[in-house]
Amino acid sequence: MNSRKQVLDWLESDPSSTRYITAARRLDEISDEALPEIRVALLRNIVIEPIVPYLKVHSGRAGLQLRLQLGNYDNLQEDVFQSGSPLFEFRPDVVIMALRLQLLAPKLVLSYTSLSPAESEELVAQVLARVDDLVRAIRERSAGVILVHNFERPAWPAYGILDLQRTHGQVNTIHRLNEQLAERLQRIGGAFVVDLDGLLSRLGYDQGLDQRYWHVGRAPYRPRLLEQLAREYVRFAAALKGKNKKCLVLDCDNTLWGGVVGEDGINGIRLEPNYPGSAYLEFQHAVLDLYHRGILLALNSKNNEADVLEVLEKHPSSLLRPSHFVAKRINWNDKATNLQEIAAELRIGIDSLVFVDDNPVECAYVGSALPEVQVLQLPADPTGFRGALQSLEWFDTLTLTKEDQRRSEMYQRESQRQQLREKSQTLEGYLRSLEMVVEIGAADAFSIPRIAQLTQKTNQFNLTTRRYSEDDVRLMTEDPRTDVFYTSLRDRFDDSGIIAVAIVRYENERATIDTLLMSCRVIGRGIEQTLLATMLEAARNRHCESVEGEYVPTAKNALVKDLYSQNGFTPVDHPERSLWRRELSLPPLAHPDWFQEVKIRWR
Amino acid sequence: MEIKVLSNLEERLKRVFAEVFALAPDEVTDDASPKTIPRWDSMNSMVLTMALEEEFDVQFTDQELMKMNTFGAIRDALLAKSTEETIG
Repeated sequence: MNSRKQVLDWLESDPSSTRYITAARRLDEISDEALPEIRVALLRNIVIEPIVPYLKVHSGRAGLQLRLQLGNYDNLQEDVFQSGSPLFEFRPDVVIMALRLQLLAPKLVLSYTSLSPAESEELVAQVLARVDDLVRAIRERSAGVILVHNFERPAWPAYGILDLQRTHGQVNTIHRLNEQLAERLQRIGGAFVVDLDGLLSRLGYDQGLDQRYWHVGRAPYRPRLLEQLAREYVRFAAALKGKNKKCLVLDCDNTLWGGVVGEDGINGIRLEPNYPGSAYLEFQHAVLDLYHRGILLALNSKNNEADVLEVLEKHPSSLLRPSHFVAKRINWNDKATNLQEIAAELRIGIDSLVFVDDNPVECAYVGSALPEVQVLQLPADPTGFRGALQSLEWFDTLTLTKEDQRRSEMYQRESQRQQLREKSQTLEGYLRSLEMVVEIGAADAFSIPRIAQLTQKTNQFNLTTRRYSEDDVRLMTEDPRTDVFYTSLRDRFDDSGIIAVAIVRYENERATIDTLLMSCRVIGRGIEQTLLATMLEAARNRHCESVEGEYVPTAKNALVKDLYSQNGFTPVDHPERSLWRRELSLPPLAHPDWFQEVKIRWR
Repeated sequence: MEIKVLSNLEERLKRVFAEVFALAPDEVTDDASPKTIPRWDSMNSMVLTMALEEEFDVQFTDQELMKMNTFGAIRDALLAKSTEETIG
C-alpha cells in the first residue's frame, strides 16, 4: 500500500476499527503526495481521542492532510482564555468544541425532574452564555471556522410519556437549547453547529453511546459514532478548502425513471406516483434539492436525444425538466468522453463532477478512465436511490449566496451568449454587443460572504489559491494597509453578481497582490485586465512605486501562468517562486474599451 | 478442532494488538503489558478494547474492562466469552 488510493481502497473493502487505525498510520507515512493541510484544533470536555484515526482517514479521503491539536481533557477555559495558550499559535483552520451537557450542566441531564421550569431555563441560559463566551473569545483571536457540537436529546426523557407534552419537559428544553445555540452561532459568524444530536438519532443511541466507557474513561461515543462525527467535521473542512463538487451528471434510463425509454416509450417507463415510479420520483426530488443549492445538473445518457427530451418535456410526473440541465450529452459516445466535454463546456475542472449511473459497467469504466470524477453507483433497488444521493457529502458549502441559488440560470444565459457569439463577426463586436457594465469596489458587509466563498471555491483562474474564511476577509477590510476589491458584472442577459476578487497589501512603496481570482464563467471578456488596471491605479494613488504579483502553480491553475507577463509585468529573479513586478512609472494599463461602463467605488 | 479455534483466536488477537500498538505480530508476547509496550497507555487501552469488541463481536463488562491489562488476561477473557457464546 504505497498510495493514498490503495490505502483507502483497502479500508473500503473492510472498514473495521482496526483497519482505520492501520490506514491512518499508513496515510501518515505517505509522503510522495503533497496534499493541502487542514489544521484542526479539537477542544473537548470528554475523552474523544479514539476519533483521531477516523479524522485522519476522512481528511485523506477528502484530499486533505490533517494537522491536529487536541486540547487537554475538560480544559476549555484555559485553552481559550489563558495567555500563551498553544491554541492560537497553532493557527487553526477549524476549531471544534466537543462539549457534552453532562459536564456543562449535569442537572439538565441527570436530575431534570428536580428542576422548576425557571431553574431549567436559568441553566439553559448559563450554558448558552458559557458557550457564547468561548466562541467569541476564539473568534477574536482566530479567523478559523468554529464548530460546536449541539446537545444530545435524552434517550429516555425524564418525565416519561408526559415529557413531550410539557413545554418545560426535558426533551423540549434541550431542543430549545439547541435552537438557541444555532441562533447565537449564526450571529457570531463563521461559527457552525455540528449536529451531534442528528448523527445520534440517525445511528441510534445503542450504536452511538457506550455507558461503560463513559463511566470507566469519560469516553461516551462508540467507534461508529466517532466515525460519523469525523466525517461531519471533514465536510466543513472540505468545504472551507474548496474541495466541494459543482456538477451532478446523471444517467437517464433506470436512474431518473424506471425502464428504457428507447424500448418502453414515454408511456411505458416507470415514473408514476406509486411503486416503483415513486422511488424514481423521490430520487428526482433529491436531485432538485441539489439544484436549488446551486449544484449544476447535466445529463450523460446513451439514448436518442429526442426520446429523453420527450420525457423531460412531456411526462406528466417528471419533476426534472430540460431547463434544469445546463449541459446534455445524450448520444452513443462513451460516457467518459461525454464527461470531459461537459466539464469543458461548463469550464469547470473534471474533478468538480459527480457522475451517477445505475449500471456497474459504466461506473467502473468512468472510474478507471477518469479517476478524478467521483462516481456514485446507484444500488440495485431504486428505493435506495434517494438515500444514496442524499448521503453524499461532496456538495457542501459554508454559505449559500444568491449567486448559488441562481447558478443554473446563469449558465443558461451563458448559452444565449454563445449563440450571440456565433452570430457576431468578430470577438470584439461580440463583446461590445454584450453591453457589459463592470463595477469594482472595496469589500463591504454585503460582499464579504461572496468574496470568502470565491476564495474557497475558485481553482482555475486563481493566481495564488489562498483560501479565506469570512472572518479572514473581514479582518483584511479593517486593515488600512490592505485593499480587498470585488468585481461584479452585469450584461444584457444577466446580472452575474460578484465574479472576481483581488486582495492587495501595501508596504512601504510596494503593493503586493495577495490574491487575484475570477470565476471561470466570465473568462475571455477582459474583466481581469480592467481589474488589474484598477489595482494599479489604486497603488499609484497610495504612492507606491511598483506592484508585485505571484503565480503559485497548482494542478489546476495553468490557465493563468502567463497572466502577469501578458499584462506588462516582468519576472523578478527568485530561485523557487514565480514573482512578477510592474513599475508604476510605466504608462497606466488600459481598460478594454468594449465595456459599456466601468464603475469604480473606492473605499 | 479445539486447538485450531484457539490458535485462530490468538492469531486474530495478535493482529489487532499489532495494529493498535504499531508492532509486528510476533512482537506480541504472552506477557505483553503496558510495561513492555510503551504505547499501551490508558487511552490506547480503550482503543484496543473497542477494536476487540468489534473484531470478536463481544461486549466486555465494566469489570472485565478493568482487568484487561496483559495480553494473556485479554486472551483468557476472550476465551471465557467463547465458551459462553461462539466467537465469530
